[in-house]
Amino acid sequence: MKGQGVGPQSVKVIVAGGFGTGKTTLVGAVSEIPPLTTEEVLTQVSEGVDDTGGIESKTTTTVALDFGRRTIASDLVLYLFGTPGQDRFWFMWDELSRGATGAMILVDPRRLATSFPAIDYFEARGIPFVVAVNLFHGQRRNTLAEVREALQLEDSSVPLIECDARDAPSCRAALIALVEHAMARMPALPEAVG
Amino acid sequence: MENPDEQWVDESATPLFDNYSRIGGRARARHTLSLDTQVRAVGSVDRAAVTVEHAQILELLANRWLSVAEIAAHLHTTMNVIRVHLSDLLEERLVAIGAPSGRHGRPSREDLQKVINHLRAM
Ligand SMILES: Nc1nc2c(ncn2[C@@H]2O[C@H](COP(=O)(O)OP(=O)(O)OP(=O)(O)O)[C@@H](O)[C@H]2O)c(=O)[nH]1
Ligand SMILES: [Mg+2]
Repeated sequence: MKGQGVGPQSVKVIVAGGFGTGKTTLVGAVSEIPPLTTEEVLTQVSEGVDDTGGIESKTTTTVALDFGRRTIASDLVLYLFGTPGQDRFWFMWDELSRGATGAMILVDPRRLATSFPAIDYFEARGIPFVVAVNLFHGQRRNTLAEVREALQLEDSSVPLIECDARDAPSCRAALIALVEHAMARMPALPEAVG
Repeated sequence: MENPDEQWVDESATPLFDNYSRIGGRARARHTLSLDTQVRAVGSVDRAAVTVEHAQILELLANRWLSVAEIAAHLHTTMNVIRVHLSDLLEERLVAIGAPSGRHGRPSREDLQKVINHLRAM
């Protein structure tokens, strides 16, 4: 393509999970810059067909997207993209997920179900993910085994880890677990795959 | 923005990025620019010869690579707006875009290992 330069390579990681599970906090804990937010203006044809005239009504919504970056080397950048809190913006997730190395799904142990849609999403698309249980109050009510049981993960090798989204070392450990998991899921011989 | 009044005070000095006036009608950018596509200004340009929005983008991209998402965030606009402007700037050869990651648009095993090593060393 014309106008192409070398440029740094990027590694993209998605931070997903239910409403208020600590996504923005985690992005901020790992990013070398304050988390950036871009407001995407979305025009959607509203659901529900107007059967009297077929006139579709369009609605415009804005969805905030936050992300952070970490420069790994002069030619390599890690990007963390937090998904919008409301999971109705699926197509935004599709764009975010394209080419992503994997997803970190944050769960609040008191409200596990708010993260189910995120788990369903990445499971269905075969995108590697880890589940990070954000220990909001330091103490946990459920053991990880109980959380795993409740999440009904299809793949028992999906790492389930504890983290504190406000604590940088803890977030880095969770990220390492994700990238290692994604590497383990890569085909051994990339040439053999189309 | 910390102070909502600031934008009025500063308006003449630093015009706000005009999101829509110059992209009329074109909904899609002609180049495939994903959120993490890297972009950089190339060559030199007479600032007076380009639009205010293009000048703002070129200034941001002088001497460094930035992703589409970062450009949008820095200029307080949306990625779709930025994509359209970048397409124009690409046509005019005023910006270059980075090569897509790895072999299939995905990072290599070596790159992922570098990420792990970096996070461990922090
Ligand atoms: N005590 C405690 N509070 C946390 C922790 N992580 C996040 N919080 C707080 O919980 C709230 C929600 O965190 P956010 O990072 O905004 O969550 P989010 O997932 O980005 O939320 P949405 O974008 O609204 O879905 C904030 O007030 C955080 O300060 C944690 O580990 N412990
Ligand atoms: Mg958030």
